[in-house]
Amino acid sequence: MNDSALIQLGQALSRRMGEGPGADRTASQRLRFQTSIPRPRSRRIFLIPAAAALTLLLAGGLLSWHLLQDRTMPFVIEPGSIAGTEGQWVSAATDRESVIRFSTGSIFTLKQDSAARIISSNQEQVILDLNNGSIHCDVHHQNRTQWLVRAGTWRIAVTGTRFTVTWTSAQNTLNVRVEQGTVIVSGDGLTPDGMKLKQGDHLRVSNNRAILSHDAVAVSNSSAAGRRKDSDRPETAAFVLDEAIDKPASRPSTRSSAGTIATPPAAKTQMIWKQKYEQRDYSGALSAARQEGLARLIRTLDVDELWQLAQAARYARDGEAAKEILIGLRSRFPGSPRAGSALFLLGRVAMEIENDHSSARQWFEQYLHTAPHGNLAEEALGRLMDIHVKAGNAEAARQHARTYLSRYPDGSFAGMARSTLQ
Amino acid sequence: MAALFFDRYCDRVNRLVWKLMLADADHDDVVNTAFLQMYSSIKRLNDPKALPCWVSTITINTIRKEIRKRRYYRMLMLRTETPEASTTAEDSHSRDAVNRTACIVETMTPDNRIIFILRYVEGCTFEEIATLRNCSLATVKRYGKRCKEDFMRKAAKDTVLSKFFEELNHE
Repeated sequence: MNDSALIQLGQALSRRMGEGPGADRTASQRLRFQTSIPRPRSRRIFLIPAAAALTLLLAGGLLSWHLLQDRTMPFVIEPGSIAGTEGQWVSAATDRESVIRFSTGSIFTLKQDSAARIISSNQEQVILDLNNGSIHCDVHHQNRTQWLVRAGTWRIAVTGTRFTVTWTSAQNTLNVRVEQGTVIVSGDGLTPDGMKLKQGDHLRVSNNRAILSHDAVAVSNSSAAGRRKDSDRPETAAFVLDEAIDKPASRPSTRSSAGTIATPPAAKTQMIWKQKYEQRDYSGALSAARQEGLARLIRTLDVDELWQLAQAARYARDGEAAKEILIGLRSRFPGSPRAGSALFLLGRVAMEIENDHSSARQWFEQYLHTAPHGNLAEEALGRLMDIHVKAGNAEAARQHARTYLSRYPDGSFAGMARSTLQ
Repeated sequence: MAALFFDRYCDRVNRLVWKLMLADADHDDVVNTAFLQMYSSIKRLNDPKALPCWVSTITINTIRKEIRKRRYYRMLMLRTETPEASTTAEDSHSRDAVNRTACIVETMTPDNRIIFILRYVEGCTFEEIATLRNCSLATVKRYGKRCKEDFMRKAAKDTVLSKFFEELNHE
């Protein structure tokens, strides 16, 4: 196996992780660093042996305590009923959910195209990190186990209730809607002790600003649902994490009274192009889409489906169709994160399929103009530099190389940038 | 002064921590620890020109300590490593391959993990890694070979990654 395959995989991993925290988060890091710089203190050397002895004693006690009892909370991952362990990543395919089933009866259902990680799973604490996408959680409280769901910089402590959390990583926006009982939400934009929300409360946090409102309809609906549920399982808490804040109203994520995610309309799942896309038959998917009417699909599909259709066209190396779909996506969903990514993809289509470097340059430039610090900015800048190098525009290539190195000195195009400047 | 120092190097430190810790939830804690470590030891830096590289080295050492701490904690808690068997054996999309890659990287030793990510995720050359890790080129190449073998051995047991590499070979 040569290095290029691993580099390709590594770059995909890099893209998946994104570029790291944004300006808001670095501002809070800055404040934290300034306040945590230790002040000069007089040395208390005599305390060191005492502290060391105490630490040893505590460590010994802790070790023997853990040796004596198994405090893990086992869980299995379905399909396949595979035993899971702490630190495990779990992902759901585009066409199916993955279920994490805990020994206490709690069930976490990872929705399609989502990924999460079980940080810890023991009798004291169960922590789950939502990497992206949506998760439906049905928590059965037993003993004193603390259940915690983390989404970005926020933490939602489950205190025996039912509520909905929506997190959009691209916009760093959190929505919490409490249907029953109370929850405590902590993180950026909230007080250090966290914010306690009651039944019917709806909290939205964005750009370090929290807006609290009260939803009377949700209260009445959820009370009825809660009564039905409470009669069956008195100590059940259920909530939904949903990344799709920008999803159009035509395809809402609805919840049944039993607390499960309702399936999408049957007509949509039966679309032939989509079935073929999921079977990775991209040419077949595009042909089927043409039979169903490409223009009609562009007018009616939701943003995620349009994205999939564009990918199918791209994989089938049909540049014209890919461009048509991506431009259609941009015109119908101009404010969505996909619209920005579509610019970058249009550049790739022009560059890789149509070999039209002039158009590719324009698309990449437009992407960088609209999202100068976007997740794909590094790649767009690197490809722009590459285009200028290939076109023999030495001065423009050098200019982009300098910009690239100043922003991404350790980036994947850094080698090319340095050689361009030499 | 501290704020100026932070502003100048926060992008570099954030990027390294974000990638090497695999976008960890405790990202901000590690960044803060790294900056405090720099602040307390900057007096020992003799050559001001070496400051950018020194910042990266301190950050990587902080990350290494954090990863090692977690491994020890896992041993104390009698946890087993993340299993090599795929939990989504039927998935064949590259997204799953990426997730499985992250899963395998989590099981690597701190040194192997750092070199693997710097080399394959960040695209650093061995020379750059040697400078960042403050060791010889030969040592980095040896570690690089070892971490690649370690990854490929684990990837071979993973159905998703095996299929991903097979498809890549066909292309």
